[in-house]
Amino acid sequence: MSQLTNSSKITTDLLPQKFGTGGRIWTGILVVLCLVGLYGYYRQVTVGLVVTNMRDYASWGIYISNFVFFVAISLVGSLITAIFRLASVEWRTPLTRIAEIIAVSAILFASIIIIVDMGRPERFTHLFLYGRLQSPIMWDVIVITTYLTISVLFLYFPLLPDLPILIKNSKDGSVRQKFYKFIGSFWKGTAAQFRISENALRIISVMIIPVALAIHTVTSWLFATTYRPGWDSTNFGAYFVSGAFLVGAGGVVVAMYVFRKAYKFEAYITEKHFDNMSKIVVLLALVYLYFNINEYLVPAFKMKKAEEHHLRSLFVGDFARLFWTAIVMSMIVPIVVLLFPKGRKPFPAFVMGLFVVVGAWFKRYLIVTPTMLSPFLPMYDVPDSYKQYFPSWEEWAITTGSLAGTLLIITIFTRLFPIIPIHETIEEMEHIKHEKV
Amino acid sequence: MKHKYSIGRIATVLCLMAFLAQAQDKAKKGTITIGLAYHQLNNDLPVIKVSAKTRKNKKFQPVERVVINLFFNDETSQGFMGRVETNSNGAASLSLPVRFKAQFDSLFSFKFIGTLIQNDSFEDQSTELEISKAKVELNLEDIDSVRMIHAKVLAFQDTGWVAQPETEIKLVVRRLMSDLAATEEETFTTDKNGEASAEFSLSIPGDVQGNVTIGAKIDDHETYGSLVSTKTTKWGVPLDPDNSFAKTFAKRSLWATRDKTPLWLLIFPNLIIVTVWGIIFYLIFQISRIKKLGRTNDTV
Amino acid sequence: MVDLPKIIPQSEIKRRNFLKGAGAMMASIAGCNSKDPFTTEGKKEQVQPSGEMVKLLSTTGEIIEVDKAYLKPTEEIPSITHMAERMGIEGKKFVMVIDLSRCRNLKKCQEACNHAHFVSDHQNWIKVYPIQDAENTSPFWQPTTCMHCDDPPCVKVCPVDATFKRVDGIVGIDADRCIGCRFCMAACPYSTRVFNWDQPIVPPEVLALQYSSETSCPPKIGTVSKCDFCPDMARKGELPHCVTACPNGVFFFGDLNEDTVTNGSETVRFSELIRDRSGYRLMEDLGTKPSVYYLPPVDRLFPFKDEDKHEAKPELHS
Repeated sequence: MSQLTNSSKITTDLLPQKFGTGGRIWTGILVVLCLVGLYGYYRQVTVGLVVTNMRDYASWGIYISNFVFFVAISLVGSLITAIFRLASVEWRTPLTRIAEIIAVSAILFASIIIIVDMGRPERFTHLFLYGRLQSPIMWDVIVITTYLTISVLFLYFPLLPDLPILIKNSKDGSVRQKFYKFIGSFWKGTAAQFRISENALRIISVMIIPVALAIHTVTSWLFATTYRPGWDSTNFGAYFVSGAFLVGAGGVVVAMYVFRKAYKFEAYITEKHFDNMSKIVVLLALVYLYFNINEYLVPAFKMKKAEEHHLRSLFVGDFARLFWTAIVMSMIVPIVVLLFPKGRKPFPAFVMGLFVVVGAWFKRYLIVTPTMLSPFLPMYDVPDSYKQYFPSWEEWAITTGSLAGTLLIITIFTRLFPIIPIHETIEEMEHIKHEKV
Repeated sequence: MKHKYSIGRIATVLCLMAFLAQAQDKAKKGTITIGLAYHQLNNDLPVIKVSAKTRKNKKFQPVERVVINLFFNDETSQGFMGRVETNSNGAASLSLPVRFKAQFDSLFSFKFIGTLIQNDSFEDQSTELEISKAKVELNLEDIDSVRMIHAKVLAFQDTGWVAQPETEIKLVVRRLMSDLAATEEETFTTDKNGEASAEFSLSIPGDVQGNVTIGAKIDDHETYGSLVSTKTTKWGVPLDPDNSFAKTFAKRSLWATRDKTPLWLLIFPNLIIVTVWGIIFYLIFQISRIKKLGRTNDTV
Repeated sequence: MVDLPKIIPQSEIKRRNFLKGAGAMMASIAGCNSKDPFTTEGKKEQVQPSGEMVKLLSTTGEIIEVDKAYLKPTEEIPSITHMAERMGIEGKKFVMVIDLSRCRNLKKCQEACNHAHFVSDHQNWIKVYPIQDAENTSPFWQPTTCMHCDDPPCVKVCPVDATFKRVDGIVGIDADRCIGCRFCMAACPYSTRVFNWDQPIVPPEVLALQYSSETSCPPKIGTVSKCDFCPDMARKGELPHCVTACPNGVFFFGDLNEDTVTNGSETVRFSELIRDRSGYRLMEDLGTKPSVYYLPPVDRLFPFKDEDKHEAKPELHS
């Protein structure tokens, strides 16, 4: 009897709930930001890319750094869901779906922002009609499409067992129920079905890791295949991947805290979860710090002529304030704070998670723009506006809109589906009960 | 009443101003200098090269987009050759139309007239160019691996073609956009027989078969204009097809078009992509298997 | 071997739209023209009198009547096909030599190039840099065009084959294919590519033309442009606009296979020029294999004077 109550309690706790005032305001803000972003894009499409402040020297700006950020954060799907699954990490259950939806949403918007950056978005089909396999952009297109597909599957398979619960608990004949039925009414929970599903998940868990590594390595090659100082590095693949894992972990910590507070999931996302995730963040931050030291200290030791201008601009010049803030904020402070048990409590961990994510966004900006403003030949025979770069309001609007859009998809998902897998949680609880007996 | 009167006054003043302004404009027309040059290659119909210049800030500057009318011998409808418009360098060219050929062949000397009429920015202008017909005969000799170039200048006079001494002539190898000196000396002067000769000792690339075009030319002569006579012969070093860029171009490379992708890029990535997507399709197929099981099985 | 070999079989020639006479004239003076690329000799006219007469005024005030057919000197001749534009001119390998000892920063090259290709004044396909390699070395002016590299990093990274290497060495851009991703701009170490952020300012008759990668006209918004070595001029046996425009004869241009380059007035053997004057290429160690050689600024014709009072910035990568 107590089992049933427990499982029904779990179900009631975890079922998607209507938004309260907070939720509605949150969604409203996101929608407004998306609309402003859309207007910014409308301006860009009708007037031209001249509405941005990108010019011939800084020809890649925050659209590209935002793209890198999105690809980075999408790696979290493979980190939490796949690696934890393969390592049989027990406390992963409440976090897997959060991680997966962040991954899917981020990779979706990565594709969107890259189309936004194109000068001729209507010619997007040229990539498929005339694509050259020699181009790193083609590799990126292929890997992103692959990763998106696998991530959707990785979201879908574990969702199937929850669908009967959702169907049962939704109003008969409503649009929602029809939707749930459409995507998974065939799931009956038989042993045979579970066998297939488990097998599929095992395969995906293994396959998604090299694909995730590939996606960010290939993205790093968009820069590393050029000669420019700051990009011409053999370190880039590992550097980007380690950064991606860090920002993904930070993102999960932030999401954990938000959902915990919003839905009162204290019983499911416990302090132990924060403790464990924080330790992982510390580890990943240390690894990323290690790669950063390699990336900046070694060229600084040599101070090659081409790199001198670039490194100076980062260490002491125009970008110094941003550079040191990003390093301190996204790596040093989180490492220090999270080393202490008190620092790993939910709220401090959440703040550190925020630091990591925001710092990571600026770190990506620092990878793209300073290099473009340190070309080999002097910036000459151009208007003065070409020699610097600060994004225009349209760029900010579109970028914020894309970030808002990512959050909006996650929000809508949470409204429709349980953000913590119900069936898995019930299973886990019963497993623990069994062990105790 | 007062109203009408003042409007009338304003209107008159405005008309006067407009008229004055127009008159001013008319007075401000610039002067253009039309240059005509005569060019003939071998026995083709000659080409008249037109240049339009105007004096601005003490310097001569080319004038573009002016229409020049060209005439052969008479400024009449029979003599009208054609109309040209100068390009951004102030230059234009027109070859003598075929219908003038008979007339051209029979004459010892002729005149070309270039006129500019009814141009908004420039006053009417006319230039004449008088040319005496001449030709250059070119002969190439290869005796005992000694290569000789022989050139002879002749002018068309009533007695026929007469050799012209004391004429400056250049011996060149014709290249894509210019002429390279074929000999050590820059120019030669024809002797009393109107001839000039020199040895060709250059080792110069030709085409794949070793062809080069040798030319003898008179550059911008007062009376003869510019004449070139050419002959193609196998005096060049044949191009080595193995060493050419065309060979590199035909190979697979990272910068080639997609049909020439490097093999390693073609094979390994595609293998990986096919494998991974194969697995993905297998997984999607698994979903359909689950679907099928769901339909047949009703119990939980 | 002056006659340019015809590189396309007759059957592939497509008839282009006939432009109105004025339009064709306008386009031809702009340098962006669609005329026949093959002839180097004067065009032979085979026009038959139409019978329709037009009145002209002579300088003596007489009225002359002329057959209307004679007013249009040449027939409309079809232009080369798209594939031919991508392949390039067979048997040629274009090369440029820039003599730094003669450059005086007159920027006539820039003017002529911008004018001929409708380049807006904030984009410059040719940039003339004040260069000073090190503190103790001498400053000089360095005109920089596209290097038309034989191992072009820009072509390697283009995802849609919008920029391509031709058999004659020229790296071209197809503005109808370009998606505006600007990867090529990031890849080029010579900063030679420009982007049409805004609607280019082009006369309507040029806008109406079909885009040709040989004239790079008309420029299109949202695509990349750069120096194209003027292949349309090469087909006519004429030199690129920058070469003819420079009053000091700084630019030499020619065919590497012919071992000859010319600046319009002097014609020299390329191998001799490079050997005697110690020619070099920019950023040789990057391995891009440029087609533009420089002659070092020795025995300068003019002293280095920076009239704009810009500080001669040291070149960051020699």
